[in-house]
Amino acid sequence: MTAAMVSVERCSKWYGHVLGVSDISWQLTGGVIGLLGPNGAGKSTLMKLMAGLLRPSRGTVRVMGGDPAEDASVRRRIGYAPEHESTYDELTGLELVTTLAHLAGVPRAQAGAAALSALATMGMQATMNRAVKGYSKGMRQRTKLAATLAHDPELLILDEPLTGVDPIARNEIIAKIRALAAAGKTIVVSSHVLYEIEALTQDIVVIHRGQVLAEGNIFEIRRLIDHHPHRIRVECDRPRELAAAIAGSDHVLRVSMERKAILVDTRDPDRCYDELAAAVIERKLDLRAMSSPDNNLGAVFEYLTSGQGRARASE
Amino acid sequence: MIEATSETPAATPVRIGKGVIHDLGYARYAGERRSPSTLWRVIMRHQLSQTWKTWWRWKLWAVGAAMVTVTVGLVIYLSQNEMFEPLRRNGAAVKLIDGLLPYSFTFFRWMAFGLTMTVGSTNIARDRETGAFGFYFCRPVRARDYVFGKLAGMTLAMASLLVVGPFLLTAFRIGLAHDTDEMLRLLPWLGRVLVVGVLASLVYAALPMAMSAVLGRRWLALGLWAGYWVVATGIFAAIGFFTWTPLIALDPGAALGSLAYGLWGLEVSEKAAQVSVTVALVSIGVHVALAIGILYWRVSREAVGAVGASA
Repeated sequence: MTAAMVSVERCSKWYGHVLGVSDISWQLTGGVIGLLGPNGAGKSTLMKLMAGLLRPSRGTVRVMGGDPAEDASVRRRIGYAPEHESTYDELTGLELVTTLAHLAGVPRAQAGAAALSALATMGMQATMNRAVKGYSKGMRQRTKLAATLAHDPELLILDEPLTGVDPIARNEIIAKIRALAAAGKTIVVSSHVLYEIEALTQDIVVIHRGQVLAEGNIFEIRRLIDHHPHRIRVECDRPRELAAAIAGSDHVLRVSMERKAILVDTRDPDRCYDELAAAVIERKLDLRAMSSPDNNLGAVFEYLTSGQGRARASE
Repeated sequence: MIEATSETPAATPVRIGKGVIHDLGYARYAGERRSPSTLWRVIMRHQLSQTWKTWWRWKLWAVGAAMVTVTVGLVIYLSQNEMFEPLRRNGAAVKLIDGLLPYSFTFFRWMAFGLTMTVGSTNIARDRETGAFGFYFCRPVRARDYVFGKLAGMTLAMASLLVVGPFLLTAFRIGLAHDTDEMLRLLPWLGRVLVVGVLASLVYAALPMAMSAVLGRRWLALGLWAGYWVVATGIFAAIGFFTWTPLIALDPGAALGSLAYGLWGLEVSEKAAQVSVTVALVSIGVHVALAIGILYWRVSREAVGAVGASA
């Protein structure tokens, strides 16, 4: 079995009477992991625990075998980008990233080159000599990511890296993060925006009220919630005929019509797909498209964080 | 896998995500790494360069200290035979050329107070408020590296105001000696000016930073420091003046003044406004030690205790 990059064992964190995370156990071996949850769910707390910025009130957090809060050599192998970005705005992007690389242990003579390389990776060459206070939100996020990368950490912890970024910059940052994962980095990304995570990874951890609600591949999670009605949209030339063919099945909850399509709500997506395919072949229908509009993070997240979903998940 | 809820003690490994992605040529840093024990120097340099960035933080007071140096130097040069009534030696007034040098610390300290208002008193609070603590402590920086680096940086910045000018004036004064004997007699002044300047730099660096660390909010820290230095120390001095003179040493500014006059063998005309060199040194030592202790305590707590997402 691959050694865990991050191992969280029965970890809880309280801030006085406020619960940050509660009795979380979790292991991460690699790849891009999306940490998903609404604001205040405990995502940032969990990330800070992994980055060594917080000590757990109970339980243990191990990163690459060491305690990140105690062991400075472990923190050297971590790149953490916090959610906020207003620190030393009077410095230029290059100065800031150089200083932070230097603080991460890169010697003075090489810190500039390491910062330059990281900023170039994030597409910041043209503006890196301008003061950070003049940067747009997207440029700040890129600079922050460059600072996270400059000392070549093995584990990147990115807290809401896409917040406030315009769509073009968002796509670019997503591409960079995925490229870094392909280059061998382990990356934990948090967001409360579902489609951002969906664009980055299929491996998610859903956190709600300080607890891990679900973890794993989004499609596996979706499949495991087999009692949750699953919606399938089928576009074909004779939708009424197809609706009549499928409506009698016991797993079908509802069939609704659109102009050139039907929407089927089912409790058993696998059977439904099989029966739809059989009906199309048998009746020689002209099938134009078949999709699952709720097979995305939004649907999963909404279901999991509802009372019904939580009850199912804990069964 | 959905089974891993918070009630499940056994952790479930998360699988590595698959995708068709290409390495865009990220150039990894593969060189040597500094020992964490040297990171305080990085923080010190960063403190100095960041403080130097704007004209009003440090440069303004550096220019002020330079003007004080030039003005006092001119007065020393032009009024070599004038007497200086506020200070006495063995009951008799001393020459301006001998008394003005320790007295001039008062003016340099105004500049240092200015620097505490623009940088020192908000220094740690700013890092806490903006979240820079996270940038430091998610890297291999320890609380002691941070405290030592910040303290060293601020002490150096303060020394540029409290050591450089007085040292140059002392050298100038020695240069005005009439003969070699007088010059040799005055040479120890260089050591004295360094002692007073360095201790004053430590006081003006450590005290406001400790208050800054305690409050953690820039404007509150600024207000507390200004109130302490302008009002509270004045109250301490008044209590000492009217009751028991050593209590004046509760005011670190008065302790520094007393130290300067004491090292030059001078006494203030109004004796009740001065404490002995020993009491002054104890006061300065206690103030600095307390300030560094508080600073370290707060920083080490904050280093692994930031609250919430944007703390």
